[in-house]
Amino acid sequence: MKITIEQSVLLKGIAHVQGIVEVKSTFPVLANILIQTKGSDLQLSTTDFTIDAVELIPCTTVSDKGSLTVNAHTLYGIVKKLADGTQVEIHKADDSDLVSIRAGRSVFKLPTIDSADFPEIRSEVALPNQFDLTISELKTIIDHTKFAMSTDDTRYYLNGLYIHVKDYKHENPESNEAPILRAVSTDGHRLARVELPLPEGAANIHPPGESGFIIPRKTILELRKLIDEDMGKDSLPIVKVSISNEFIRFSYGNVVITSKLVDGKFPDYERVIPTTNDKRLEVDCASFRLAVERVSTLSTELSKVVRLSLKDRTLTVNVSSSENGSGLDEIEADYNGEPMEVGFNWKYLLDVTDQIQGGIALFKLADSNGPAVISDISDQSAIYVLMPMRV
Amino acid sequence: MTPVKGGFALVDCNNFYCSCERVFNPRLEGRPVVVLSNNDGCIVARSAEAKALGIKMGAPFFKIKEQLEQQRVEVFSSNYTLYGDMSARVMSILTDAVPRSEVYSIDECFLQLDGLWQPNESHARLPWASELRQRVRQWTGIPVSIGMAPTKTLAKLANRIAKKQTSGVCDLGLDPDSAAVKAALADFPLEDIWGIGRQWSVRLQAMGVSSALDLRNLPDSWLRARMGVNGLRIAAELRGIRCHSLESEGVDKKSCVVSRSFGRSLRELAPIRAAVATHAARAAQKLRHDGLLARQIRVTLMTNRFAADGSHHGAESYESSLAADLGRWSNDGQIFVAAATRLTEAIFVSGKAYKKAMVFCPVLESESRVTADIFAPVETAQQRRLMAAMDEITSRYGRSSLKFAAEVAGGSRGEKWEMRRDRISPNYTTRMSELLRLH
Repeated sequence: MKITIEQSVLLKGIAHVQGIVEVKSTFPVLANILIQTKGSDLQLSTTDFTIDAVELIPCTTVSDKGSLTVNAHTLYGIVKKLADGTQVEIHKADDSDLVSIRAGRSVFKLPTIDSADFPEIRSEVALPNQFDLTISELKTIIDHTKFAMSTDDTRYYLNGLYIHVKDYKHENPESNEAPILRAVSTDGHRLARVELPLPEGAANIHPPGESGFIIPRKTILELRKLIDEDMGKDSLPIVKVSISNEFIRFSYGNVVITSKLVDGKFPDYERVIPTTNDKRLEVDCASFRLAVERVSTLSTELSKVVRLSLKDRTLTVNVSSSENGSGLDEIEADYNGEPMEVGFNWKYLLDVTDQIQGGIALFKLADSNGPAVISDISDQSAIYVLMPMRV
Repeated sequence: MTPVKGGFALVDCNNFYCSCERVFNPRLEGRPVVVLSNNDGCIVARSAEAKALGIKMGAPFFKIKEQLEQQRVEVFSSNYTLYGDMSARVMSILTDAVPRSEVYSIDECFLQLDGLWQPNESHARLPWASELRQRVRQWTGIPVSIGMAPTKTLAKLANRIAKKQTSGVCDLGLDPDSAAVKAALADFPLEDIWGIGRQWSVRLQAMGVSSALDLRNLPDSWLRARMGVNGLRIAAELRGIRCHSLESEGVDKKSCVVSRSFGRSLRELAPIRAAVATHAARAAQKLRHDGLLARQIRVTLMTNRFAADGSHHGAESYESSLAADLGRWSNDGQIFVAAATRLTEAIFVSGKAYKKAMVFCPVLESESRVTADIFAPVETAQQRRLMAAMDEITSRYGRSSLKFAAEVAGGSRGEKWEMRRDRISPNYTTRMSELLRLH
């Protein structure tokens, strides 16, 4: 195989797919990127068995067709440091195990593993249901939920983002509410739920009333990295989503990410979202964040609790530790209940209030032991449930 | 204004368990006394006279029983109710003596001496310590030793010296470079330094470091490279630089074990289940006391590992163990007892002669660090109040005054699981019926 390609094109392509590669993998070939010529293009593929990423990038010249696999992180490290705009020659003779990477006066020779040993990539497996999401819709879904995805392997079915169609009419034939697409994440301590108008084609991704799909955490985080570089551009490409009971695929520009779904049952999350919390606290979100940030300076590994004391028009935010002392901050708030105290992990409070774009955050509370429901008062499409700590 | 530095005092009760036995039994004064571990297993405390007879710490009682009888040693089963109560009395006097203190163990207490004296009043330190020692002895009957020094590590060292002196007090002063401190360090074995275990002491000796003074004089770079930041801290403390302050919050425990041997081997499920329920209730109560929560509970049942002659049963010994997730972070006795009972029923094998049961909570979290689980049943304020009420009652009227039903279920043959405590002294201070009588 022998090709030349512009450094910036190659770098961008590798950057898109190399995040999939595990730094320490059990199988040596999984540390590698598969490079194959496809006509006048080069196809880059990576996999960790759960997620496959494939990108097609244009070559400058293809002198000799072929394929090889080489350590993805090493190649990325080299290409990143080559001079901008240089032509990179990738050459592997049939009788050699080494690939040479040549750019200007730099030459690297890297060991390869036979491309026949690379696992099969599932980017072309047909998936029956398709719908489109705009980049901003996908960003909304991910940004409002990613912080609450679990990392606890003992509850693997929480290690991802659950998506499903909420069909009100199926639950209550007299309902006039239109079906929506919901994304939910939880780590058992907090829960994030975001809703979107149902995209065209998404209505049948699963039978009405049945469970949706759990997309692995890593897939979601890689996807978010991928779309980030295009945010802010004038014309944003659409992300095509294809889904089956086993796989989900995101096609975006020249990149295709195909991921296994988590084989597990997401818990009945609707059961744990309180609907009868009658105490309402309305507070300026920016002031609240600043107050929590200030007092949390004193929190320690041993104690991460921020105590919120609610009384009429005053919210007192308080941290105390025997090691670092105590601190409190008062902010104006609108509160309609009996005076009460409730404690939350300060980090969780900041994670949630980070997502509230409007000015006023609404907390709906029952008592100091029960979960709180937090949302932007002017936008109920995203809500967050937060469990308290003992105070 | 910053108070004048006064360093620390470490007050340590002398041969504490033996001293507690002597308080209510004056005929033991001057006689060798030992206290046995749970189930009368091995020696866990020795009076000075018993030490002088060469009785080893940890020696199995059944092996030296005859020797003890010949030497007319007074032998007691451990009476933790008495020791706990006596400890509370001693600690109450000590903590009243200074503004800041740290109860370090059942028989040790650090006192912070800052601000007690002006710089020109250093002569008042020793009389103060002697008077405090006298007060503890007079009010409780317990003899204590007091070591005073600029840092906690040096105070520990001073206390060791105090124990060997008839006065029972030792003040190394506030100058860590004084001849007295250097002489004390030069004479002090490595393994007795606070924070240096036996392994480190062997390793250090192999490197040519043989005394506390040698360790203190090592360069920081050497200490950091070989012993890490802890080694550096120990050396700094020996140089009089304060690295350890008083710990007002107890250091977090990493796990919790409640384990007892049965008074005799048990073959029936009912008494074993009652024993495990008691251990589980006790584990939950300990966690509540320490403000900790567990997520998992493990029950282990064991047969006797030793034959009557002390030889090892080897392959014939049997042990089975099973863990369960509690489904939430908890210290609720009801949840612990229910889970432990289920586990016991699952691992019990009929026909085995069980000798010991253990309840183990492998991972603990502080209550102030745990956010409730969204999918677990919400622990109601009522449940918490119930546990608090139970703790209040048992602390006032004794642990046996209120139990879970599962703790008292007996077997059809009326098998009892309680520990063997054939030589226990009366609960002189906590049970009305066992008060000392003067005739």
